Amino acid sequence: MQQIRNWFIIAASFLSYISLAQKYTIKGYIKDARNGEDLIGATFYVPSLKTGATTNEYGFFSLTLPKGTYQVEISYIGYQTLTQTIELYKDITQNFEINEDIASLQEVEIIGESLPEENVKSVEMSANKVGISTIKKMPALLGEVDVIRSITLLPGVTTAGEGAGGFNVRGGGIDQNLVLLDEAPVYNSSRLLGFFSVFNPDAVKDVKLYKGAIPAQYGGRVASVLDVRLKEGNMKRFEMNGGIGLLFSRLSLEAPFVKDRSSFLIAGRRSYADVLAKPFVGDNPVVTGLFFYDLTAKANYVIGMRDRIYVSGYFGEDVFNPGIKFVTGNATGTFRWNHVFSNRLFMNMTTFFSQYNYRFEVERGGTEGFKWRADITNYSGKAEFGWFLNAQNTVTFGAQAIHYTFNSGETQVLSAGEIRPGGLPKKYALENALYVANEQTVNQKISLQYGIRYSWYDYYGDGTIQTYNDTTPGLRRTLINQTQVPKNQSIKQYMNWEPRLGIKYQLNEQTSLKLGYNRTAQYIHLLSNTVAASPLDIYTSSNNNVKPQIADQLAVGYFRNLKNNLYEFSIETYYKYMQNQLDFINGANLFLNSQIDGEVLQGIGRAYGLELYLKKNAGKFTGWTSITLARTERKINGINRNEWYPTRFDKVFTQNLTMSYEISKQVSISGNFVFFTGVPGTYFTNRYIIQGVLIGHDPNESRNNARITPYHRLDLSVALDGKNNDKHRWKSQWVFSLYNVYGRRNPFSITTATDTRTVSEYTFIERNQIALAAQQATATRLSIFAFIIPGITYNFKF
Amino acid sequence: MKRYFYVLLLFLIWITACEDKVDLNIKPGESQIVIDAWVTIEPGTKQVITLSRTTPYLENNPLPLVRGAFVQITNQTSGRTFNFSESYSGAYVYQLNPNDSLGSIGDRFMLSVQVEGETYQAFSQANRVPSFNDDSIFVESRPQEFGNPPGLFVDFNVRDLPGIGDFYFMRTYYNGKLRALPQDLIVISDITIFGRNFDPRQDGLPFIFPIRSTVNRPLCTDGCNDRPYKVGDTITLEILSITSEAFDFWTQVQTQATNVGLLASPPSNVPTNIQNVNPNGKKAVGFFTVSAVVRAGVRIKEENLIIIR
Repeated sequence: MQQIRNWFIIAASFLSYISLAQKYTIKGYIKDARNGEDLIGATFYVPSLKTGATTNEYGFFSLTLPKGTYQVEISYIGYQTLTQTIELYKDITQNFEINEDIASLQEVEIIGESLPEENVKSVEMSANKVGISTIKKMPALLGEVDVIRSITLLPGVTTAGEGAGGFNVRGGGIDQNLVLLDEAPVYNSSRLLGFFSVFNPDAVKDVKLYKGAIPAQYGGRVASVLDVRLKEGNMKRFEMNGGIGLLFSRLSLEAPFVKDRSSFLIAGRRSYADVLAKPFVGDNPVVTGLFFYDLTAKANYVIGMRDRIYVSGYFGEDVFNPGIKFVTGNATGTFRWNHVFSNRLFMNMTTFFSQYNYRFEVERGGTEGFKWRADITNYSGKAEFGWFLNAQNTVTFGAQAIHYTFNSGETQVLSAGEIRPGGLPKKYALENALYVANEQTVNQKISLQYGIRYSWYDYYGDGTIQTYNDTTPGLRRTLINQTQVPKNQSIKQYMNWEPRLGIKYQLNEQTSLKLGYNRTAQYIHLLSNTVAASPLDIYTSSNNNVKPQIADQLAVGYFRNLKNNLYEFSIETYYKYMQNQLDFINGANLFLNSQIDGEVLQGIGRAYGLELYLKKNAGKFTGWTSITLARTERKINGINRNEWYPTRFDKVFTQNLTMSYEISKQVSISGNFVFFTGVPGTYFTNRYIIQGVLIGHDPNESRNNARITPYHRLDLSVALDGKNNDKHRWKSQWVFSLYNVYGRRNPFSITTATDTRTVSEYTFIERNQIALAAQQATATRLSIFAFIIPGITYNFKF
Repeated sequence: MKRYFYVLLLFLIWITACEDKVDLNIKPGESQIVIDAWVTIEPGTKQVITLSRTTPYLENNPLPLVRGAFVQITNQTSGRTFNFSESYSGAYVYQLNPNDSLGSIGDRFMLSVQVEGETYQAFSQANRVPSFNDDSIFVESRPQEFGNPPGLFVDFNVRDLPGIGDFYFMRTYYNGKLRALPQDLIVISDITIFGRNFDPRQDGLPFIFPIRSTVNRPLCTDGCNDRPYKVGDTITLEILSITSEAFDFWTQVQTQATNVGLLASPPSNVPTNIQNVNPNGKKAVGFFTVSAVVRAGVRIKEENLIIIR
């Protein structure tokens, strides 16, 4: 702590020295003129000084300049650049509104659509920002636009396969991504078992993925940050958006409470296969018991020039009830307060709640039943300050505390009329962080982003300290001692310094070189022993047996824009070293196990790769292509003879292509093409039979010893817009999509098992006689979307 | 649990997903001795132990049998030894006299096998079993529920013994034939299938319903939903006590044999309790278990039905 304070004092006195000349500050918000939405990452640029500022996550900017009259340019990707004259002879506060649409622009001079140059100019690397309008253009499975499916087309982002749930970034596991919805973490971003995500596209404003060089304000996961921000709600007028699709329908309403001061947004989705199927299948619960719904809501209020508050929340559930009821549900809630202390100091206070719960219930006749429920619950408070020192330095500092409650499974058994509670005790932890970072423009060529995050984690009681023997790696460790710890007493603490660094060296207007380094620590772990993550996987805390995961990543990149930012191109290479990666003993039992630490193995991981990315930003034809060469491996005592082995999501070569072509004002076509090397799997080499049951065996104990065939897929879609003239507010669009156009049977996995279809009659006549008869083992390829899948969606807007 | 979930997944993707048989090219590993030794302490029985060798995984041929071995079980509690003799190829047999048995509940046993110049040993114990007789088993006529068709189903009344750490293996005979598919292997820990470190608060109840209902699968070749029986069928149910090591073994065998789809676990070798007395000698696979058995049966007749609703 002392160190941080000293560092701060030095930095502050140095920076105040630079700013002694007579200077004034302009601050304000940059907004979309149509609906008053704040724009994140919009640029306020002063060409004469070659300096500028970008808006933060709340659309706020502040820039301090010598007094004078300036021509300034306000720009944002996909928006018309606004040029205006600013007379800066005192501190001023001014909001700017910019337009997507040429027709409604007045008074101001138009210099054309802004094209992004941040990828070259900004110090940021290994980050991708995807506009929701871009996501909406891509061909989607069953015509349902999805944020997470879309980001898997970015370089460095993969999944273990279709329907696998979650995503993998640069060789990290799915629990190593911090997925934020208005700053609240989402523990399971998958809906309908991984085919869709929790984010309602009509409510999403901005999606940003950090794959490396993660800024100091983010922490708690080792691989990536997916920062999803919701729209505030239209500040100008009532707006309605919606869509009717094959699988589900969406509706969102937004409107000002008080024009330009306060607004709300409410958006919902529900699937209706259960309702539609009823006339055909009757009351068959297998079909009619399946549905999902979710609700996203947000409201905000501008209290004055200095204050603004936001409330937002998400609630959704997947329900499957064919007599046995499964429910998985997410809920988040965020309250935020923005306060502008002075011309240069911006504050955001956030408190949030987040819960992921999963339940399983079966009941019969009131006398027999089983109930199971698990959840992870967070409460958090966070204060973050943006200190816009001068045109060269923007300091961010803050503190966060997150409280965790882990409920790894509580059960209720009802047997022959007797009811008994049971399960595992709840566990508690507190994760705290302090951070400070500075974004510094050293000169025209060099910019820096540096910071440090100090995190500490306290796993506390009531709970038990379990001690295990540690004799043979790979075998279940047995409990040798157990001590009860009283309430609120610390059981185990961990602390980590997490340095973050970014350097940009500008070679010329169109070219730059960048370097990024980050160390990240992760204190919670997903216990998943299946090839695809299941919604029933359980999160667990670091404790005296399970150590926090730590990752160090170094990335280097070359960034070049061509033809006046029409094209952007980048090459990035990275190396990541990971400590305390989790795997499990053979045949691990992760369900309702009070001695689960004995099933966990920890070891090291490494991932490295090369990512090429080419994007065309504007024109009738837009899109991007990326090529990724990557490896991701683990080395864990007790697995694969203690040697390195590739992870289940190790894809050596991946190529993604996504493009969109605007044929006319009304018609556009889009396509995706995906190709990647087959993922590895584990296969038995030998067999034997015990009591008539065929058992696979590998005397060499290899993990992921063979690869399945490559995956490739083409998707196409056509969007037909209704006649959009300004007289009619009702705007409609038909989207026709084809997923897996040539119907390739891509393997999700190839598994081997006893082929029960070959057994028509029980031939077990005398014990042990059949034991020696031939049993069929077959290798089976599972394809999730084995055929062409059409989709039709009708979207509307009012 | 996972299995139920798999059913849900299958449903969601049944329209679009498909499974094809494919060829895999995997280089086989070295062949090993396989010892299949599951004996009971039931009096007057013929106990059989088989010895074979592992073969390449996808070659669907009969296993090669291992002849000329010396196979012996020692009851370590009583000190008595039982020498098994090779009665037919690869099968080593011990025929007990009508009132004679390998031992009684609580006895510890050692298996010793000398074959191909190596000596293998394994240990087991005959654990307790709950009481079970023909009155414990009954037939119900049930309506359609849980996606199962209406019809005649068998249920039974067995209460777990008090105290945690009881492991059972349950198997059914349908008209005298043993159901022996991997899906039919029901391993129970106290009252549920949920493995280790069971909550003592839930101990000592009757086995929970979904487990009891697994006896309702006259044929289990197409996904193993419960199916009704018909009048005239005979159903015999056996409950065998097993050790916690054998519980792990059978749980993992079952997981492995039904390990397909999205929620498959990475395949891994199942454990063995067969040890070579020479730590540097050739390793064997297989399992040695000594069980106590209880058995009950019912023949479905019109008059013994219990009608539900």
